[in-house]
Amino acid sequence: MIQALIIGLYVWWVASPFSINLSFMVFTRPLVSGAIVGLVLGDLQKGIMIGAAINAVYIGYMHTGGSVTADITSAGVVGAAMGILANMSVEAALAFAIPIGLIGNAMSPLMMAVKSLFVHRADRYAEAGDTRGIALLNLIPGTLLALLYPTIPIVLIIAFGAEPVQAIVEAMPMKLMAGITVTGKLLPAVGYAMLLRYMARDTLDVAIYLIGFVLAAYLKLDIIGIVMLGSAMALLMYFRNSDKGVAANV
Amino acid sequence: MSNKEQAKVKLSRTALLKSWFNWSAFLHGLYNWERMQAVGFAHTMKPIIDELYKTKDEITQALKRHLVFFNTSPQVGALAAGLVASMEEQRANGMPIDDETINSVKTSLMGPLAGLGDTITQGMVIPILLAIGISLGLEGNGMGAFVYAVGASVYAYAFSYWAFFQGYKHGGNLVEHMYGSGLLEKLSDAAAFVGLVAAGGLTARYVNFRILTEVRISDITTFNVQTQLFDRLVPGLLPLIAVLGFWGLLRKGVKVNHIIWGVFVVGIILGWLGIIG
Repeated sequence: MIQALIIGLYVWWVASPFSINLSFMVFTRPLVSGAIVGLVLGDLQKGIMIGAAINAVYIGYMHTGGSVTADITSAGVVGAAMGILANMSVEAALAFAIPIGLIGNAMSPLMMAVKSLFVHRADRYAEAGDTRGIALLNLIPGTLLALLYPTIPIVLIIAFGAEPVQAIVEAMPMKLMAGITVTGKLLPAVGYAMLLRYMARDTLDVAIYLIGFVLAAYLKLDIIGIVMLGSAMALLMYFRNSDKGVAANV
Repeated sequence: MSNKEQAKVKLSRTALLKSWFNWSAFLHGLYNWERMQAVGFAHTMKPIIDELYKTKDEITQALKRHLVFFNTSPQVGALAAGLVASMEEQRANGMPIDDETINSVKTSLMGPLAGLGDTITQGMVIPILLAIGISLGLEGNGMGAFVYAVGASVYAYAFSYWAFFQGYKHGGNLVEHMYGSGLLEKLSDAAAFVGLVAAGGLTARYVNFRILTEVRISDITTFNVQTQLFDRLVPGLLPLIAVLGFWGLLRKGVKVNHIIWGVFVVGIILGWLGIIG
């Protein structure tokens, strides 16, 4: 119970403005939240293994213009906590986390809609010349809303969910588990498709993506090697001063 | 003599640092559909407004001008905040900069900076750092989370600091320079290049589903499509096809959330039947 509350405080902080914008960059990522949940529950190693497995699904997921595609906060925290408390395998915890990420996804647009209601209060503060009011408005409603979601639901699930979840997972037909696991294996492909969609300026840019694929699939280069090679190529292509190049050759 | 009376107003270092911090920390404090980062932007300008303007009218006008719709990428977009801070300073010094000018600079910058910033941050930095952290994390190594957390935090704050003060120092010239020299486009293209190469590599590494179905050729021999065909000739072809397929759907305008739910259903069916694992 105390552990559930500590995790709840963490989630509240992450979801509130006081996470100083490191939530999106760092603390909502299942890799990190899984490790922290593991630390709180006394099993760092399992926490990070589950977190890393969940995060692998969401590597390529982008948030642009306010549209999100998965509630990675809930997926990471609940997945890791249930995995440890209900004694699930990493695969089972992943299979459990994925639907949570999908269902929780509906909450983000809802939160942004609720926050729209407060904007008009900002106009009133402006009219009154109250700069402090603006600052508080930017911090307080977000903090309170973060308590409503995702904090309270997550605390309840962690505090009371372990036994029912364990029962559900044990009663789950093996075939259904296998099915959700396949979903987890297919979902990363959607993430890379999103990256491709966002970054390919035209269809031909798919060729750049293919270079990276070949480097890994056939030449077995690891990711750091690929990034270094890619950066070198990009530097030559986009930043080589053509005039200097000619001069040097002469 | 009148020159001496109207001593130049110069923003203090403290005000600028506060403004930068408000931007970096609280830009999304009240992120909403109606005006996105508007309240966050006004919060960013609070230390600037507090220092530059004394009368209620000036303060109201300044707050109003920064409570309009705004949305950009947090790290790279700090450049816009620094730039606007310098414009406010000039305005307080009596330069003819009206609401319209400041607004048009903001709206003309937010799109290109969002494009550049999302490409660098979400398309390049985050996936690469995550890939490094995850490869350690999957082995149960807690350093995976630590390395990622430190890397991403330092990137976020160092980059936004740099961008904010570049924006403040160079002001409007920087925008002209970036557009004129094609630097904005070059940076964006280069970041997209690195991000795409990395995405290709990550596809091969992290998308790994296999065909389990075996084709019966006769009573005693079966043909395993995965090990006897794909693994030998074209390793990783299936994940590649999946990514390109989803990319095709996205290009056709299919919503990503619809694709995700579709994958959920199809994945369960294929897994249930034991076709893919």
